[in-house]
Amino acid sequence: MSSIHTGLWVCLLMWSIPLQAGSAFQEQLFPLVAEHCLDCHDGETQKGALDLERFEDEHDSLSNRRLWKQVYDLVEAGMMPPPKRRSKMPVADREQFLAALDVFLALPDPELGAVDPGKPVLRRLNRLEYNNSVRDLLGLDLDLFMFSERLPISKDYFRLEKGQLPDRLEMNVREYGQRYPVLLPQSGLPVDNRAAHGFNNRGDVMNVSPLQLEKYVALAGEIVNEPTLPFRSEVFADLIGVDPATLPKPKAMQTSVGIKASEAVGAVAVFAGNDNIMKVAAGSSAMLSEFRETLADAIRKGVGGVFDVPAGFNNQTIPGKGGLIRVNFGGKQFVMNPNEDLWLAAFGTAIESSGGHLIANKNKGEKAYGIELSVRQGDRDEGIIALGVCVLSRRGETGEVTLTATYSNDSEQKLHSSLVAGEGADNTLFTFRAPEGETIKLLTVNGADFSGDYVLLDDIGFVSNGLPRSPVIAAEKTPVHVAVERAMPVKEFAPPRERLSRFLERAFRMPVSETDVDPYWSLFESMRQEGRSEALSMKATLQAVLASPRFLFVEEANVAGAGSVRALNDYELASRLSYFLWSTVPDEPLLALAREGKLRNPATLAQQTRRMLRDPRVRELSESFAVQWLRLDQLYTAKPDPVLFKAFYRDIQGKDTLHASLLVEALLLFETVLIEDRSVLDFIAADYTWLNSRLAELYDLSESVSAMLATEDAVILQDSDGNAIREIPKVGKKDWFRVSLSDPLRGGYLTMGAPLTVTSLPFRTSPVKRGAWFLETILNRPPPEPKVAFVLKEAEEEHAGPATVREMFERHRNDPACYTCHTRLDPPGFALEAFSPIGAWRERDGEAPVDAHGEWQGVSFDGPRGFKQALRENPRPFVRGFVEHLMAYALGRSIEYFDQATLNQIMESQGSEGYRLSGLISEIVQSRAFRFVRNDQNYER
Amino acid sequence: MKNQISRRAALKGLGVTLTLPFLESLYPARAAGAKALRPPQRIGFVYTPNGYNQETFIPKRRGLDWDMPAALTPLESLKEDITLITGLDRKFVGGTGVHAQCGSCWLTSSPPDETLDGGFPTNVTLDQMIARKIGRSTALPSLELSCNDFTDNKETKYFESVSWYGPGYAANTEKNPRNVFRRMFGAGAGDSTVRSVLDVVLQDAHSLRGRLAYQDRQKLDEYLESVRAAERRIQLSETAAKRVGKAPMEEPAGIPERRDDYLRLMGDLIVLAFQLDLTRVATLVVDPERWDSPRMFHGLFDTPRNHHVLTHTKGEEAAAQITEIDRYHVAQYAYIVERLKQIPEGEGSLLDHTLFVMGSGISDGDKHYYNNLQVLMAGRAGGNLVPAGHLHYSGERPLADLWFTLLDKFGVSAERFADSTARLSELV
Repeated sequence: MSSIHTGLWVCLLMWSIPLQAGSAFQEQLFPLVAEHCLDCHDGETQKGALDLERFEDEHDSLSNRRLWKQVYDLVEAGMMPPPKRRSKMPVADREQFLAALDVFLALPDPELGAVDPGKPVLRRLNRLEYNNSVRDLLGLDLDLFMFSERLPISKDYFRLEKGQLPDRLEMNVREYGQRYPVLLPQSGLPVDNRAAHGFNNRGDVMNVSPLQLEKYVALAGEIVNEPTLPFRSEVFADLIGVDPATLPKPKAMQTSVGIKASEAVGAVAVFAGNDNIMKVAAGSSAMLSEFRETLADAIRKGVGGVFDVPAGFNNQTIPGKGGLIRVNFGGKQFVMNPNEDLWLAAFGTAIESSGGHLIANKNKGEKAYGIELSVRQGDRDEGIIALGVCVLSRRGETGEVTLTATYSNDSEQKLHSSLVAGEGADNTLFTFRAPEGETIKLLTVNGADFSGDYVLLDDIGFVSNGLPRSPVIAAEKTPVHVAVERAMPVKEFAPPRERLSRFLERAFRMPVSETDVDPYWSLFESMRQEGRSEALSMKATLQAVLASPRFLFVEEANVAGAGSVRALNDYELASRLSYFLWSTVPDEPLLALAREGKLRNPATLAQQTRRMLRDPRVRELSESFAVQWLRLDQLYTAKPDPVLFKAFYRDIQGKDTLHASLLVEALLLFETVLIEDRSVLDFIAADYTWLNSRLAELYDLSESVSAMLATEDAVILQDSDGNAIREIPKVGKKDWFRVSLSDPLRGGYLTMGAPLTVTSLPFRTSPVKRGAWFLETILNRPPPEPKVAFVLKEAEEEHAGPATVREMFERHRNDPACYTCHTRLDPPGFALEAFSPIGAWRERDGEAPVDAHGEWQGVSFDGPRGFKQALRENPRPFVRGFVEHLMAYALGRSIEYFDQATLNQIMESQGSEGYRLSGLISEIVQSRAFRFVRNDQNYER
Repeated sequence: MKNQISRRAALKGLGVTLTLPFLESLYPARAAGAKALRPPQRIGFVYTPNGYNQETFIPKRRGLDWDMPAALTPLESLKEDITLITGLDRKFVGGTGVHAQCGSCWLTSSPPDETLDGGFPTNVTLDQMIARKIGRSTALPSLELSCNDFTDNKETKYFESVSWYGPGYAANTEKNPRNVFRRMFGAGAGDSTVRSVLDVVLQDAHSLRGRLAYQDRQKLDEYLESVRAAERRIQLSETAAKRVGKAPMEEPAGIPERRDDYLRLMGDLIVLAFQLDLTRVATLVVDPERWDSPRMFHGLFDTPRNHHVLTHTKGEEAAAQITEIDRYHVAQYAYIVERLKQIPEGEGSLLDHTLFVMGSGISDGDKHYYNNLQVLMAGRAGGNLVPAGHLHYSGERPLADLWFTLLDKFGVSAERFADSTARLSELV
């Protein structure tokens, strides 16, 4: 239905008869302008340097519609005519004025002879888009580099198959700033700054400077030369014409990636390969070189190995009861059975002795744990006779760590070492050897005197007392192995030029002609002529592709003879679509439709939009758009005062903060609306929210969570006889619940902890920041920058010290210079005064009771419930603001007066649909602004 | 002669005189038989945000016998090298944020009413104009550094850089000392592959340009210019590498944890780049304007502080803390100036051939005053400037007059600079 509607609308927009706007402007609009505006804004007075009198000529008005849009916004916001002016603008006049201006702004452009869809934007990929594009071009399952826009939240929970999120989720969150597996841990690109009142994908705002370009070239080089890439990316291996099966595996790939912790892993052959062991604990049985020799010998004989946490184990917990780490070696298994929860993870300020992950105690501060050691499938009394463990030093953490080996005769050996603080500055090796005839059955770690919360273990080297592998078997194995390899078919590749050409189409997101391929092909050929291998030559060529302007910029060319406004071609549309919804290159289905010329068909476009909204990649919309829209990217640097706001910091060191919980709550609301195809009105007032135990406490909603748990568990947990088990399990920070809210206080972003915290100062609330956030985020009508810098202070000095923050602002507002803006800023700011700087409900601000009453758009309210109600009663300004934000993000440009036609259309068609998020997205995709672009027909090449 | 400065020594600023007169061979004090070449001029700008505590930054006495207010005490031993100019003015252009123009337009060559970049008068900045004159033969025409290591993308690009190539076209700043080092000493610079890569992308950029509409062409020109700049840097870096040889300091591991170490390390790199003639023009953004995220000032306060919020906090305590922060920044500036002074060059020191400037885009951070600015300068700009102590300008006198004067001191001929009215005749 909506596509028929849209099709009709496009026809109307394309209607480009000579303009008759003047009459409407003169007859309907100008009399109102004369009556309400010209007192101050006539040719003589020109208050604020604005002369509206000169617009008697309709043509002049049409070409100055940017200014008229400003007039529209000011009148709509009630800022003009000035609220303190004696003669008010009657409501009927105001409505007529805005309605007439709405039509006027939506008229075709006189120069173009059609409604302006906006000029093409040569948009550089931002850091997120660059990362995603290369990742997806190569089919990698990890990011290229670490960057701050990537949220520290695992995406496991984000499932779209059912079209609904369950009511209970487990969310895995990394510590902020903690490292995680990426292709190039040491590399990156500079951050892209956000546009003023906009997003960080605005083409006109982004620059390329020599520094940035050098980084693109260098980074592309690092990517193509990364040694594990041919193993990780089949696309890449094929491109460079290499069969990874024939290559030696690089060190970093020696352990399998991505397997579950419950499975056994292979032992590795290298112990502490990073060569950064700084010392050996006193009393150790062997120094590093000696221990390595013993190990190497044992590995040769199949009686030893090294356990290094594989990358795929990141953030895995090995439960203290029942959890095992099993390591295959020489046909047997080395088994570690911890008696406390162990954590396999990456730690930011440690430097690993090998790999990127290590072993630590799971529970913060519980630094004493034991690990039982055994060997399975071995001889009856087989066990571990020699053990080497690396203990890592970390930034800012010092003190003594003790490792104790308990032998099979129950004798013990304790080794101590005092670690010096620093990232890897004091990585220490502990080695043990069991007395003759005994084995090591338990390794105990004790960090009671160590200042850090975690004792970090890396490589664990072990030698068992089993029988050496029979040399006969080893000798027999070799020919069999070779035979298998010979039997493998030799992989065949297409000719290099063809491979390159196919990749260029994907990387440039355009069909490529032979001429397009030529420069890249000539680079390949010249490398070959210099004597480089085909693989190396192709790598250099791909380096150029990834640094090419056609990859780095999203291109929408000027097409000669295509008229003043042209429809985007199918490929251009595919790019707009995929960068909007997925922040990445178009995938194969989109490109296939583009090749066939079908994507521009509105029905196909709608169908593809639906497909993309049901693909997990759409989470980028939440991670990029929603985070920027709500300013959640500033959450982690909000630092509420630890003395005043103890609830924000759970532990003594202040590391276990509320940041992550607040972020997750905010994200989950957006994602619920996205996944469940709900109305965007949920963003301002939802009857549910997502809580974990800490937020439930903060919001005083713990009872709701408990109630939910009780009913849920009654259904889920049943014993074998079908009897319900009523025991309520312990709820951890990772457990999230969708809680129904009967009280309209919470629910929606206005009264959510994350925005309330982001808009506060460390010691107090800031009604101005909250008001400005509301106007900018919720309404997309940011307040103008203050003209007078700081009147507040002077105003204060005349009075005795004000009791509350609100009183300070009341006085400020009475200043005529501040009144107009603060009439809009203060009501939302005051309504939210009922929340503390970390989003908790409060009755008092200091000594005085909180006063959260006010008036919003003619509706009086007392407190946030009333304010939300006032907003909910007239949701149009919010929805329009949201659509504008989303559209600006989709187009990579700012929203202009000529987008009014599109906006009016979306508001009209989606109102009856209840403003579902998917509907708004589909309408944006179908809109003229999205599918068309300005084209300069007189432009010469 | 041992060509090693350990990073630790550099960091601690032990006052070691670096006996590394690389340029001595090029610019000998007494060249036997040959006409001595004059050492080149260098200029550096250090930008500090949010103004200064006016009570503790402006000396009471003028001229060479100026007194040392609380924030300036780290300059005690450098008094004879300092010119402190107070009382110059800028104009705030309405319509954009009060902080956004502080740094981005501090050195701009556009007058306030020439807003070619939306509402902003950004344009090619003073450092870039001087770099176009004196930076043509060095591996890096100019160096743009920043110690803004905040990871939250809070502010616009107007907060990131004081160095601009043109209207709306900001120079990217390098924030990681390791990357600065690599740029200076060629790691990651061009092998033949990089040259070939640059050739190809330049070629493709030209053909793309032909397809674009007018405004997009201008955008792409940033890319084209950048490729050319990269080619040029590779070429000049190779020559420089032959001359300089092995880098005389260890590669920094990354961003130091302590703020003072971070600022000094960036200063060390600038000094080294000047000393080895790898660049002659540098800017360093100490911190961005506003950016309301608390940060540690190590050695000053035990807990993080929010500089911007402090400027808008009432009371003696906040004022005293701002003075502390001002002095902290002046101390890092003094450290750099001291280093420049310790390095012999030609008949004098590296500082004699340098002008090292520090300032903020506003004076009083609380009121956001664009008037009565303070600018610290150290050095003699190669003999073109005699340190004059404290110079005060009362009444209206544009800051651009100072920048206009500096253009002249660095041999750039111009009719005017931004809204300049005349050169400052007191600077001789």
